[in-house]
Amino acid sequence: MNFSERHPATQFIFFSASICSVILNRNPFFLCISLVIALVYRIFQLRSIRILKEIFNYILLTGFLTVLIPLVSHNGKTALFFINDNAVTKEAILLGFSTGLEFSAVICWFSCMSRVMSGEKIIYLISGIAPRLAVFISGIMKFVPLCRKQYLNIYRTQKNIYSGYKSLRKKIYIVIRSFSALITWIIESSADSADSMYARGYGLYGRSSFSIYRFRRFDVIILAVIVYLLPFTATSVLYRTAGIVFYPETVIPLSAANILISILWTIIMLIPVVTEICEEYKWKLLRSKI
Amino acid sequence: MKKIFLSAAVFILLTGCAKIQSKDEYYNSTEQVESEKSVLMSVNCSEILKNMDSLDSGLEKYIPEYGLIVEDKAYPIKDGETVYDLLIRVTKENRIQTESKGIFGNREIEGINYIYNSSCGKGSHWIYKVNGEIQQPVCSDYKLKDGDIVQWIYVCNDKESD
Repeated sequence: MNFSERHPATQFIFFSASICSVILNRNPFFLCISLVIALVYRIFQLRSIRILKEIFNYILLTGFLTVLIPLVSHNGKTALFFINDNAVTKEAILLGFSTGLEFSAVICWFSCMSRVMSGEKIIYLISGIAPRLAVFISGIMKFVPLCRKQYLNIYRTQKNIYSGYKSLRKKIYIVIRSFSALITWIIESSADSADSMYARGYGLYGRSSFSIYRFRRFDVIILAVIVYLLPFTATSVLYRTAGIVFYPETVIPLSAANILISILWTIIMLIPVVTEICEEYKWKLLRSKI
Repeated sequence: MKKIFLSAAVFILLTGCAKIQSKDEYYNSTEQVESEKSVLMSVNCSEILKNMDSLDSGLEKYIPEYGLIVEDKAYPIKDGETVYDLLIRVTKENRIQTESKGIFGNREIEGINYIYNSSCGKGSHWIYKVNGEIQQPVCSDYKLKDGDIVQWIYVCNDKESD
């Protein structure tokens, strides 16, 4: 069973926990491991050449921050050279590098999450507590790409109507016109969908809905491990033993508990990738027999 | 093509304005000033010694004995030299790290000897006094006169200036 077919609560807690662990732990080694795992998972999700473009973007982001942060922050013991009487230091470069890794890892985990958690799953998760919020969120998630598509449609039509005009004023006029049409369309279609939701009795007391999600034993195990680990991580972050001190000298505190927590987080983050590989292997095995 | 030219122009503008020096060049570029005018200057962070618990971890090594980063000493000054110029000159001579911020020549000191603003609890920062009076933070505006006493002091509790 793939990770994307598991219970939404498990998926949600897994992704939020892995994103939290990336944000809280600024150790470059841990961030590297996390980013690599997220990228491998992303490869399994996309299965196309688009992954190369994403990897290139992450490299660009990391490189940009590695260059930018030394130019802004000049703290640090080992100065490499000086720009306008301010030092460019090794520590600042390291800070920039790990910040870039952190940003890339968070973006990568979020893009994995958005692929797995569809609007339907979010409605399923929140509708019990706050039905209106659930509709709102899933509406946004569906609406943004839809709006973009509709805007392009309207814009092309308008451009064809006013195809003879080439001046800048006319171009701005076309954009404004199509934007106004888009807003009208947004209001109309959201009123439509709200009406249809109302007609079906969404959010009324006592109304139940069917869902295909089942809470299995494996979900219980994952949730238990994550819930067991969270206090450890929280305390280590509170007492500043987990992270890394960059200024004025870069010090990575290496304690047994810290390493253990990092290894456990790594194992948790590996769950979807491992299940994905297992499923692939099983599929190939069964297929060759037929 | 337009974009390439534009980015090249921006790059040249940025690097043209910047003064890039290697480490040795920077520290050996101190000029020997010989003049009859002189001022007294000191850099002092002894207030941290009373508030060691709120100091950021890893900084304990960089607090000198009695908190004196630069001891009280008379320095000859040039005409029109500002507090900022003097501080940079003296710290360069003694190989002490400093960081300043600001644009168009208005410089504010952010940190001296790895001790930064808000390194020792909330509201802790560097101030400077000339002849016993606290001055405004932009230290590149104050022109020094003969016989001035400049004190750089690290304040831990920001009660007085609030």
